[in-house]
Amino acid sequence: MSSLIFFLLPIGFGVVLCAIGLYRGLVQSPVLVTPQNYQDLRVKAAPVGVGQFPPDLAWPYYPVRQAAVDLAEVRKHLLEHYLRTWEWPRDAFFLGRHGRRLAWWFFFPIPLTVIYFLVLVGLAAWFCYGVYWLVTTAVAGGNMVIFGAAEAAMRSAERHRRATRHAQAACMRCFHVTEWPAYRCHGCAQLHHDVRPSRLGLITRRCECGTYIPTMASRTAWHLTAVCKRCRQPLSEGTGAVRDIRVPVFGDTSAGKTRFLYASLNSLVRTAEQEGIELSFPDKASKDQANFGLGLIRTGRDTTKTSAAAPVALTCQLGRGRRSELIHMFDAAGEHFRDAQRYDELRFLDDSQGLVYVLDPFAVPAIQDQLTGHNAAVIRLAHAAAGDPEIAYDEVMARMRDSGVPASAQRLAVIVSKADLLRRTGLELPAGSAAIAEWLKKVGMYNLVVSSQREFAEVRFYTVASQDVAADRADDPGAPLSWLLRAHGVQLPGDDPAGPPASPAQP
Amino acid sequence: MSTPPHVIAYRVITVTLATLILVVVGFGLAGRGPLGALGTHLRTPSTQSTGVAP
Repeated sequence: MSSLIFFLLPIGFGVVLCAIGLYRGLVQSPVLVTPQNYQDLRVKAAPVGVGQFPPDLAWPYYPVRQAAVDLAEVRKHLLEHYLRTWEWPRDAFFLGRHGRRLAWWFFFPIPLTVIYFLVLVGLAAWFCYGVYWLVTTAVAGGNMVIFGAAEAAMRSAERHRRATRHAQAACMRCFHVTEWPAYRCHGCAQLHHDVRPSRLGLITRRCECGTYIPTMASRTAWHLTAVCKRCRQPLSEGTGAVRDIRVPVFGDTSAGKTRFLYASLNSLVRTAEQEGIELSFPDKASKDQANFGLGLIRTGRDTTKTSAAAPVALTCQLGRGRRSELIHMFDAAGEHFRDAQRYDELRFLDDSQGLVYVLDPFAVPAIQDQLTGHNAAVIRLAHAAAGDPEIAYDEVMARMRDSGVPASAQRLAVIVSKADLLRRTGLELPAGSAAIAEWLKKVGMYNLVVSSQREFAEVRFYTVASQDVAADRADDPGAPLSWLLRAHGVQLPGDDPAGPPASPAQP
Repeated sequence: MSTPPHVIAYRVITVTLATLILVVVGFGLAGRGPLGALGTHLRTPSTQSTGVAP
């Protein structure tokens, strides 16, 4: 009985005191680390730099911050309640607020018994809190170790997958290219700029609004709307998860860039149809433009000159779902390459995986000389480019050098356009990349051929006709595009009619 | 702003674990359960030699 009063009773009281602290700290008036709190803390710790985004607004993982806050809250409430139990005895025995102090101490066992009781209560309560602290710290620490390892492994796997798939996000409105886009939450329209596994969640994250979002762009892309990080315009479904290939077409005014773009697309559409591969246009602008361009090519009508207002971008999706590929083709009016002040509009050149240079043979002086006195009607039909073909090439190369873009990591397809018209004049055109390169050298394009072979990782030369494609596919407009796509892992049937690349120039 | 489920889950887990440990320790002190030997040991008088020959 005496042990019950002197030992178990204060211990029980201490346990109850700790339980009250837990209830007050965790249930009745808990302090939550909200997404906004966590963002503020992280921004304070690492200020957001120019061109960076603040951490996303999502609920942080419990062990990261909330565990420490919970421990502090429980400790605060426990201390507050424990100190309150001391208030009356302190006032009575030491401050004399409840009668005379000496009178209390005269009945010696009473103050001592109360103090003993309260000390034991405190020991029991703080022991309970200590156990709770140990458990929370062990759970949080263990979680963080496992979480850290899993996060590193998942990030590494995703990085590897993205690198092998060439998964990126390209905006066709502002030509901004990023590793992955932002994703818009369905619940609150909040943008999530970095959905990699992080302290905001390993498998899924919980947006500030409560919506669960899968982590990793390869999963998020199929659940949320992708948005350009710069202009905030929506992107195609799957952006950031599928292979993304950008092929700019450049060349002088009237060299045949737009016609080549439509003709190569037409060839790609036919190849896809033959092989049963689905080819679609993910946005309305691309669909309208493709319908217009394919109509021109299939009916044999002339292509109008590209507007100098803004570069034309066309996106098509090859395949369906997670194994599909997004192919972007760009075409800028020749004036863009001439005007140094419009360089900014040629941003798409900086992030391309393969370039197509369109060379108008009717603009080459040596060929013009050879054609003098030949079929005048055909020459008129060719609408020869006015400028020197080498100038447009040099200007694009200068821009790439100025932008710090390494051409040595890219492939270049040099297209000799209007091959059908050239053949109609009676000129013999060579077949095969190496032969075309040699022929171009002979007709005065020596510098272009040699410098392109020196500057790019790989160069192939093609003759292209938009209408009368030879049976052996010698002038197939789809061949250069197919080569560039295959070089980046796109599974397309057939081989390259141009054959192996021309030998690089000897230094 | 309501408490998210994962925070509630973590709190329930940590408090439950702490309670379990306290119960086991409490029973142990009473001489029962897996830590029963602890209570028995604390209550048993010392049998160590006093240094005096019998």
